[in-house]
Amino acid sequence: MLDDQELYLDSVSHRYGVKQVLSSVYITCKVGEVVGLLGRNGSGKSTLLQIIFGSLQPHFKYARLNGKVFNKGYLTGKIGYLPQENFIPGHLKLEKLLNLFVHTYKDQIVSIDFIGNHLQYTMDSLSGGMRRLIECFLILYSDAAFVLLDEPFSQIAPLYIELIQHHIHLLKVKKGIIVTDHYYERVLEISDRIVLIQNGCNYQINNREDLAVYGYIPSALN
Amino acid sequence: MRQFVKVYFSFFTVLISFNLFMSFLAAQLFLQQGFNIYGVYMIAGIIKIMGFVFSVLIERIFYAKRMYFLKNLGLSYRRIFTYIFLLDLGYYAIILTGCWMIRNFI
Repeated sequence: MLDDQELYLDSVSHRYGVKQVLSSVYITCKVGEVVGLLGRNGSGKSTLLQIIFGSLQPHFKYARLNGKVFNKGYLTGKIGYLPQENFIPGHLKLEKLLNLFVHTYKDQIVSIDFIGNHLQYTMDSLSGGMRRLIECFLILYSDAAFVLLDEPFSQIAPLYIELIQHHIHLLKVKKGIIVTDHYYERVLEISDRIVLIQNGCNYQINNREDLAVYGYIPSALN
Repeated sequence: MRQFVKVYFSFFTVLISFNLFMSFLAAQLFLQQGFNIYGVYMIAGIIKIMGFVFSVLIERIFYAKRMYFLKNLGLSYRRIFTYIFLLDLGYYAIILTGCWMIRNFI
């Protein structure tokens, strides 16, 4: 049954003022795969994730979740989104947040050391990096079948980046994950497929050479 | 609905208290003037509507900070306000019933 679950977006078009950011963009994600979304600054990666989640209304989109057309992803209860900025109010304790966000995988998330050790801490009392890390894990381990991660590796120490990668790998059996970050090496390591957003369009990337061909990385780096 | 109940008292206590205050303000009119004057209903209605409008305006201040948190719980602001206002109308009805009983039986 898990194999049947698919997030499908087609013909996504959006512009800010006169600037066309996305033009007929197409992206899919199935449960069991990690899709890496790459692109230069301002290419529309975050915009696309916000459109999928439903916090941004595009000029046009056709979106289906498990075969059903949807308008706002968050209303389906099956799509979780980690935005670039902190999104959890600071006065809440981690224990309460777990009760709100995590039901199915509660035992697994509590068994993670830094989560289990901070249950009585409020988000305000944590460092910026730790707060970001916890937000990332709350979304990853939430009940959502599809998870959209917008720059999950920013502000995070290398050791914890590997931890996030490890847990993405663990969870992808049960979830579909779309991840975007400027640490493209990290994204390449965990992704089953790479989609590049450039000039408002999406390109399927098959290898590192393709990234250089499309001008995402300098030729000397591939 | 389950998620709404969980966030109801965590995030909207100011809003709930403010609307309850407006309800008691309106109820005070009924206690003093009685339930047979058409104008009292009009003024009480205006007080309640003002309460709702101010609630929306107050909540707009916090909207950007809370938006992704609430949406990740599957809650839209439209749905939240619908529940909050319906509950508030329920409280209001209970308060008015209490006022009516006080005026008629005590």
